[in-house]
Amino acid sequence: MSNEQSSIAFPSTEELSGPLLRVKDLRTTFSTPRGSLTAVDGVSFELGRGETLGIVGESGSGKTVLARSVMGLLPRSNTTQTGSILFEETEIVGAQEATLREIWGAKIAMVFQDPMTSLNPVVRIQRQITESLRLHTSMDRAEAKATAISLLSQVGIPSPAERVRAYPFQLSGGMRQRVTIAIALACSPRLLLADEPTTGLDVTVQAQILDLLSSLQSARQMAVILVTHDLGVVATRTDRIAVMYAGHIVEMASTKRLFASMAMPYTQALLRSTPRISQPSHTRLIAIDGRPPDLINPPSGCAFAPRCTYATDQCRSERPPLRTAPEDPTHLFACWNPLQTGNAGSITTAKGEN
Amino acid sequence: MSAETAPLLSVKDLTVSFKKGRQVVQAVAGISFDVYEGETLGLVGESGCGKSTTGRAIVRIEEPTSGEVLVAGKRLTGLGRGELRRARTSIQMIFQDPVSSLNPRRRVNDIVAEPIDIWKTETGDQRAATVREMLEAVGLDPDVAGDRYPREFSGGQCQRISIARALVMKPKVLICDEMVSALDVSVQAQILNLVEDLKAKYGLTLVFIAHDLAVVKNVSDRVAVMYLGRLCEVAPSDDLYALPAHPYTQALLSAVVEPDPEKATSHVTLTGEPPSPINPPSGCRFRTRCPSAQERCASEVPELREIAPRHQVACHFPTLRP
Amino acid sequence: MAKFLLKRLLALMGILLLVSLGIFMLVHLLPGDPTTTILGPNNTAHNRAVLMQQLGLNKPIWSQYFLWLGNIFHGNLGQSFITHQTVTNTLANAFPIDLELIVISQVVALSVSIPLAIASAKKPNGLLDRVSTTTSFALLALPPFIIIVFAVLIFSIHFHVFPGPGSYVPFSQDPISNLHTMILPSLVLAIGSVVIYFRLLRGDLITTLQEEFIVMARSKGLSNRYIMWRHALRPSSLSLLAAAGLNIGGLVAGAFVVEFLLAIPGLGYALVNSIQQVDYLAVQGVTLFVAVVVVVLNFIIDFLFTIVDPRIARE
Repeated sequence: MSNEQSSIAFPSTEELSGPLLRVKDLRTTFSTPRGSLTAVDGVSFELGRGETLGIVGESGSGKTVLARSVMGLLPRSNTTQTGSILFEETEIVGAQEATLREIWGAKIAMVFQDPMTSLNPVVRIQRQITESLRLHTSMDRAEAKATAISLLSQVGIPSPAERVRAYPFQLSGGMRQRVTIAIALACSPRLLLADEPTTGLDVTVQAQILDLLSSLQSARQMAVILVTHDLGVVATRTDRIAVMYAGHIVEMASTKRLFASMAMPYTQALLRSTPRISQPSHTRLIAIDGRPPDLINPPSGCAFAPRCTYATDQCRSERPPLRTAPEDPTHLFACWNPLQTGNAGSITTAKGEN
Repeated sequence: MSAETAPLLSVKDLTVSFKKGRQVVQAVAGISFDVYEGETLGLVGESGCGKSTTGRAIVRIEEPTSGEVLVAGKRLTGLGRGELRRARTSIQMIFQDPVSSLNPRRRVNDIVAEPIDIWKTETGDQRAATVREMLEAVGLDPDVAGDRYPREFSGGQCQRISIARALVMKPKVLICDEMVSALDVSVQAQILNLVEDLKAKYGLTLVFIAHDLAVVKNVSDRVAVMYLGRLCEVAPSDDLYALPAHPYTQALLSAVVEPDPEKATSHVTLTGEPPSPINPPSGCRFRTRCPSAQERCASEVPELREIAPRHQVACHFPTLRP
Repeated sequence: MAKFLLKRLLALMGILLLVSLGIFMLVHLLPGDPTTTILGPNNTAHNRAVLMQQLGLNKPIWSQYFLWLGNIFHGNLGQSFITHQTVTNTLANAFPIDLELIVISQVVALSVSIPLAIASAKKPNGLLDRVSTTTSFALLALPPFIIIVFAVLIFSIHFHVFPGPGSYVPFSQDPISNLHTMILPSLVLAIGSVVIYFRLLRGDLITTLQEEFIVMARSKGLSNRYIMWRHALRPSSLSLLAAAGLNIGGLVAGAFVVEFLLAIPGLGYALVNSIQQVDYLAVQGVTLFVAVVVVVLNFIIDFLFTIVDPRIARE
């Protein structure tokens, strides 16, 4: 296994300076029959090398579109993108597809939600792994196959030498997701985008896959963007969390800081509406009334205002900018009445109530 | 709920087998449990454990291979077609996918009224009044929602419509199969709260089937854990989550992710995946993945037995409370 | 896999047996009396009875069937009453002509329809896609026997680009003029197939290209051409393959019509002549042979299904 790994170049420590990814005022708009839909609306963030960022949001929040935009993977026929995505030295927004293809699979890779649909059903596992190796490295057929087997064993697939000949349908759901992770890791990318990688999986398998991802991430010094709807998935496995709502990042902070002193009512509402095993049974959940706004006709003020218990007239008319918390400059939130300041005293965080 | 009262729903030695080619898959391999009036029994387990099949066999969408299902002392199994249909008005099921379980060509009013129309229990104003009441009970505005079609509603609203339809005949028992799994967290909380309210309002008895352990704990009075067609452990919710006695329950609970960065991430993570139900392990079905399996586990099937009041476990070597 | 094929093979045997029985019964229902054809209408009843006995026609019908079947297993399909050629001989002479027609037409059909479908599916509702979809729709309405008449009128009689009816030359004699005569009928046969293959493949490709595994393939940095040929084409070709299987029968029938109209001495030509002359052994032999070919080709297609989609063999 060790000699296969040596053929893959790991980034050396000298390279590890400056952010890996700089997203600035990214706006992704789809043209739909009903009108144009802005799925990602002015998103900015940076991601350091080897850092793990969780992106949390409900369906329609734009989290998946954001992940695909970062990679430049959205179909161009009905999508327009503005802003800037700087990956290392390369600008992704507006780049030629040939430029992107050199990055795809080699430097940025993606793990999709459902391995049943993201693996080609009629192509053997072997070729699905080796094709990017053959494309991005100088490996020959035999070396690529040996690497594929080694990757399968790294992601915890038993008897990898036989499994490499299998078709996806011959594997269980958990094994399939391990295969997609092996495919994504094949060329040792600097950035892994994992879009709901455990959503369809059972709890025990989910734990296995999440553990696998974090151990691979630290072993390879790889940055990870973990996209999920589940605050539980990101709580213990990320350095930072960005919460998305209606195409905006509404709060972003280090994971510890976010859970300890969240400022955005939406983040709190999301947390409070999540049932937990640490609560006694029949604990009344604090649900969020209503539903997310229509992104074709978004509300003029804060997008969460119609569902927010603290909303004021200002919230309904004026969109809050993303601003920093006074105590912690890395903590950003977009709210006129944040929990800590405007509602201090009357509101405690969900954690404080337990 | 006390031990003296007779259970409202009683499942006795239920088995369900499917033929898969020439092989026989025993999806449910002899399970028994009781649900008392006004109680919610949660049924959890991983995919393929037979929890959904159990729910479907109770309402006989799936034909049980053997065993009995009794509702208020009346046998549901063995009933003829007509009798079964009548009996089904007292036991209703709600499914995971709210959108595809509603007829897209019918208006909400007619969808909700469907059971009434089948049984011709009510007509005209009375029928309309009942539909109004049901829609209001599930939090939909009858004036706005009634004349629309399912496609005009979000997933959460469609689930409200299917709840209204299930409740229109005033059933005693409601079987909920993964009813919130397809919904977003915020909508899921709305529906879970709604279920709690309706249960209190109409005196419902629930079997709540789901894979999400936190969701099950939230709504259930008692929880039954299933693995590969058998019950591992049945106990009051708070007991089961605080003091799980079966190694499988322990493994499941340790794998749950909590939205709390302070919670340690070290797991008793199970290795591997459940074996095939076509050829299940002898003795205890969990023994192939069990950290504390011994020889006896291979030879002897552990029966469900009481280790504490109302706490049953099917394990030869359960973790007993201190 | 082996088990799957064995099962299919057994089914195939059963089908062939049924087909042989069907053909035998059908031919015996043909109007006309072979003895009249052979001896002429004015012969005596006695002579006819003698001939009946010689041909075995006085035996019970089921024993005639088993006699025929037994002979087939010895490679003997009987002898024509009229031409005194063995049926096997007729087949050996005529079948290569049909094979040539069908093979050329299918090679043309696939090499036109696959690239066209790929190009159209790349940009659904693009110019190329709209033109090819509309054209194919128009051609779908025209059966080959109409097209061949116009094709002959235009290309053979008016422009003299291709030789007209009755100018068939065997391949062994002069390959160039043989191909020259065969191109027009092959192309006419190909049109129907192109239309079907193009429409099915285009539709399936458009669906496949929206699958998540295509996005996954793009995310690996693979080129669009590679993705199209290695990832999209195979899972999209199931309907095409099924249509090719269903198409075989129609193709054979189309070939027969075209042969008859252009006086090409293929199986169709031979069959029509035998039917007209109540040469029932020849009719039986040719029909059975065609049935076998169609059934065997379908078997091959079934096998191709398992190659295109490995999930099929394991269900």
